[in-house]
Amino acid sequence: MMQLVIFLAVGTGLLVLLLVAIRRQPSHAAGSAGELVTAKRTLESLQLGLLPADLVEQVFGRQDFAYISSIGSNELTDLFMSERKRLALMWIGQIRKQVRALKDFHVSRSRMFTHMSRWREFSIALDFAGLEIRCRVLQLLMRWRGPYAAPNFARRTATTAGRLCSVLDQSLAFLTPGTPARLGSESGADGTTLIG
Amino acid sequence: MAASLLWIAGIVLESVILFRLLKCRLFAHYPFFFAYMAVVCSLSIALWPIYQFHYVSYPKFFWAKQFLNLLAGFGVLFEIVRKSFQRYPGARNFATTVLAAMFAILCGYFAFRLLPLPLAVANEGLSSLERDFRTVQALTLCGVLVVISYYRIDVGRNLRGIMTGLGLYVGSTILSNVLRIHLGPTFDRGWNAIQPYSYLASLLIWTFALWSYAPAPAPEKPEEIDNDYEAFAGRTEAVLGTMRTAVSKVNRP
Repeated sequence: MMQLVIFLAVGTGLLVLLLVAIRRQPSHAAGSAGELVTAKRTLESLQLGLLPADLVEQVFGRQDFAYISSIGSNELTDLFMSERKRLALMWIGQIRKQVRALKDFHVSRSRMFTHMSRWREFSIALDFAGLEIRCRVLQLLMRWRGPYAAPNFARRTATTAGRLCSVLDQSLAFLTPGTPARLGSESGADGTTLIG
Repeated sequence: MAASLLWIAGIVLESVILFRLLKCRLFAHYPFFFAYMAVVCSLSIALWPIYQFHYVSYPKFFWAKQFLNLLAGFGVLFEIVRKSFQRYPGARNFATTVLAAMFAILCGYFAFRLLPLPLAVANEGLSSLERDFRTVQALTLCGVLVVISYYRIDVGRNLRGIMTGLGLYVGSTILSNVLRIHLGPTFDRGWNAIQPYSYLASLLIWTFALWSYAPAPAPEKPEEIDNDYEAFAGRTEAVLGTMRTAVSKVNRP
């Protein structure tokens, strides 16, 4: 029986994969200055706007809910829950969108590099796939059971996304202007330079 | 009657594909696929009289044909891998690693499964053996498709057609063989329909896809990265120049 299931899965999987591969639109090679800057902005909006731990805690933590519940108005609680659900869904929708944009950018560049690390690429591919699945599951859970359906799962998703961002950040590091370390420490308060 | 018609239609389509491959000189671009079609077409023509006039010995020849077909199919897979990632060195490295690992695992599995068996016993389970080898093909093709989908590579009409036809045939063969093994003679009718019709569908796909040479388009802007960087750096320099002028004005006593 197990054998039957495995072979059926392989046959069906191949046909489904074929359909997906045919329908998928090919992407062009990225690397133009504009695309690099867009990717960098996407990365920054994820790292600074969507993934900070305090924001994730604010959206998925129960503190706000506890405060609203303490007021004792069912109408207010319902309104809060529907708004929070909308916000949580928006958050996860934005994460998905930005991660997808980053993935498109990353693969359109990495496919051209001869000296890329296979293991690193494999790990990034797994992270992208995992993140996509996590986001989808989270969306379904929130639609079904509200914003507090799986707070730990949401936190872990944010952590995975953050890890992926820091990996991709390294490849776009050259777009981040370096801060001259000596300037800050060796200048006077009035702006005069203290070094030679 | 229907079987004869299907057979003739198959030979006609195979001949058309071979003719187009020769006429448009596609055989130079896809030599393994050309060899595959040549093998399949010759076997179809050679087996036709046996099927018509000496049906008793046909099953023996049928399995021999299936195995030659299968081996030639691996050549086509090799061609798909070679051609798909030709212009994408990064993706090619990744695909080669994935496929090499997959092949090593699968070869190990089959060596483990087949080596202890005497030849006579192995011959008895030809249907299951074909299913197993088709599964190797299917998994390899799945690996290639995953990498192509992940990197969103445009493989061109010819290669897309070769992959679709082969995938359709291999997928439906696995499904029909596994159901035949598990359901027994009750599924014979279904098996007799799925095998030839899926093959005919694959031939039709190959005919349209390989009507003329349509290679994968070259990646749009691989060399422009540096040019664009120059423009980007130029703009930054211009902005810096403006700022420098402004700062020097402020610094003036």
